[in-house]
Amino acid sequence: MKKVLHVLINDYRQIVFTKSFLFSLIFPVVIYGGMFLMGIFVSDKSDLRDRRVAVVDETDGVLYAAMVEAAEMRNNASPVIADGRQAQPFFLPELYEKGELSRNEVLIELSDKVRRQELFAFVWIGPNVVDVQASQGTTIEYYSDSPTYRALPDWINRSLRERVEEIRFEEAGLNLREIRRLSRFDGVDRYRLAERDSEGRVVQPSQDNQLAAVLIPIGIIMLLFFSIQMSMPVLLNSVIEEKMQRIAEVLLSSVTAFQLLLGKLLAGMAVGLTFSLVYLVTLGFSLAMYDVSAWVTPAVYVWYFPFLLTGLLTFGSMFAALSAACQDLKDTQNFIGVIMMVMILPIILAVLFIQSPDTRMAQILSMVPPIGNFLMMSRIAISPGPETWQIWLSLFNQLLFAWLSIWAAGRIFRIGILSQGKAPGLRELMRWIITSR
Amino acid sequence: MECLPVEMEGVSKSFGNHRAVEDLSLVVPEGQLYGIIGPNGSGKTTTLRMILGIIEPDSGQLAVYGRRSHPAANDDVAYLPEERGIYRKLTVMRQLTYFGQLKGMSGRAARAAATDWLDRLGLAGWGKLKVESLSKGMSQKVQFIATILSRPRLLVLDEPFTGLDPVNMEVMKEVILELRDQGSTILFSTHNMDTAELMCDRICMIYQGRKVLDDPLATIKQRYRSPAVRLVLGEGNGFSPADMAGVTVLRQQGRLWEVMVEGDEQALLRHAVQAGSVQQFNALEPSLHDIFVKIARPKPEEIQSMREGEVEV
Repeated sequence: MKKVLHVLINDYRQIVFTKSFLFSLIFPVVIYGGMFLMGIFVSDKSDLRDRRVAVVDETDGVLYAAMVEAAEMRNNASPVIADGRQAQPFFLPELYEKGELSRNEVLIELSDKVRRQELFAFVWIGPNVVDVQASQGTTIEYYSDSPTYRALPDWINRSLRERVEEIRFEEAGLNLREIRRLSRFDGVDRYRLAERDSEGRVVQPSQDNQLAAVLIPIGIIMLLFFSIQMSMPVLLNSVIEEKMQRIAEVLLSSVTAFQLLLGKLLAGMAVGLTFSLVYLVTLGFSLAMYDVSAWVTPAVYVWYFPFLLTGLLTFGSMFAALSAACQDLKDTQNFIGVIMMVMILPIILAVLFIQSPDTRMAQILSMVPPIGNFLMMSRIAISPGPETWQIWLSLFNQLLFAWLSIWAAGRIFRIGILSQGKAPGLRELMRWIITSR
Repeated sequence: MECLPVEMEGVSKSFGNHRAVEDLSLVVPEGQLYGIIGPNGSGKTTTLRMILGIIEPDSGQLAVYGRRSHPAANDDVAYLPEERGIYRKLTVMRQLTYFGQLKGMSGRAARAAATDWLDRLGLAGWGKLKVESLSKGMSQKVQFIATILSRPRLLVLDEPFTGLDPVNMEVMKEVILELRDQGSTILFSTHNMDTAELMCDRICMIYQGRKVLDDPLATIKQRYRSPAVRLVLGEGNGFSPADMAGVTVLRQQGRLWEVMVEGDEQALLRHAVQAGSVQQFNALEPSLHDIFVKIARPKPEEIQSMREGEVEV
């Protein structure tokens, strides 16, 4: 066992303490953390310059007045003013009297003012914006030199629409406010089930977050997938290097083929665990920070690791056997494609099952190894999760299959690691499994 | 009773239709330097791999220190393969420590032994460098150190001097002989007959998978001793062996004569001494190469390949 441990430590160090692995492990976390910190930093550094907007109002100032009123309300309230400080820029409409100037002359003059940054934008309100019968002059045109800035045009659109609707309803003899009051509907709020706490008191149900309900299960199986996918190719490269560089012969004069395989599998497991731990800790920390820890149930954390380990053992055995049997990375491509398909299939199925995780098909497939590793984890992540006996049965199946995979891989590994020449086909691999001692 | 390092009896091994080793029997005595020699492709490496348990014989009996069914992994046995295998991305010290640990050494003991050997083989100060930054000769020395680090009872070396320059070859020979003197049994294969002749206590010669010779070196030399002698006459000695009856001149260069004597060689010496001074008189021993040619009658290209292999720098 001590020799297995030495192989494990050596391979783990060779895999993990490389710039490429550390970069791939830490980079997303750094990006995430960086975005978070940047958000805090940038929140105090918003562009608070006044947005002066000239208004050419051909409705005799009716809509301009509405804009001024809306701007005053906006500029003195949240979220423009937060905690007594200005948090967003003020919108300042200014009426532009065009006098005898032609449309083109006005357009050029105001455009030049925007270019000289005397204005941020200008708005041209057509004369018939309010008139429902008119077919011309019904548009409101917004001109600016900042095409990506949406807050101002969105606000103009919103505030003028309200006023236009109000005028139209009044002209039709209807009371818009009354209509709005009567047609108010707050929609359907989704909640989890009520339950009693340990002292028998009813705990108020928490509100469902639809986005989280979908993203968390998908995220968990993606993490499972990437944890396996990150560690397996390095295991593959390590075995092929030892075979091609004839290091395997030296190693096999010190350890048995099975000890070598086991050490490598455990190293692959340790790599996958490292990867998962980094991301689960980051996830837990992030959820706690936003006070939404309930999005991920404790069952997810509890069951994630057993299913990760069985997945790592199963797919690790496949990769190790494959790399021992092949002569170089090129030889492995066909086999890798098949294994990757097996790993991707449950992700597709999980997306299909996400709305109905308890259908008979979902229950059966989550028991079938090796895809059950992924499917059962996605079912666990969808509240309320499967029944406990189903989880145990699935785990037992995955463990059994992992054991079978290691057994078969051991037989292929023993012959393959010392074989030279043409890579074996599937039939030859089967013969190795059956005949190897 | 103490078990012998290696005992093979009637061992055969085939790869497909190719018979690599056929009915091979040999015994490697404890504490000796045992050489397996033969031209390329004669079955030397296959024999070593079977002894190590890396591959299994098709038939016959094989025991290493008395264990008939043994896995390759054996802390008493260390192996240096012909095609060197070391991790290029690991540092020299990390590599040596790892191989030492796999042989059952503690990390500390492996590091201490590695430091000593690196120092001894002129690699002091290279421990922190990655193997990929070393020259080929240095890498070979690192692999050699990895093999001997744990001071195994049986050291199996497959063509250990291939690719080494003469200086490093001498250093390595010296270490191998020292290990033998300290009690290790050394089994090594080579197609370089001169090296085997200089180093080995006992020789096993394999040709086309079959053993053609297996004896102590002195016995072999005695057995294949030819009646030829070399005579170097002193200044002014006008003796001519060609004038003697039963003497055939093989070569003559100035005062050096190499002759074949039918009958008493001492009579030749007496006649030479009567004629003047004699600087050298000795029997002309056949080299292993000559013996191999004599008993195996190899093809010319095999002889050529062995000659080319004699100095590989």
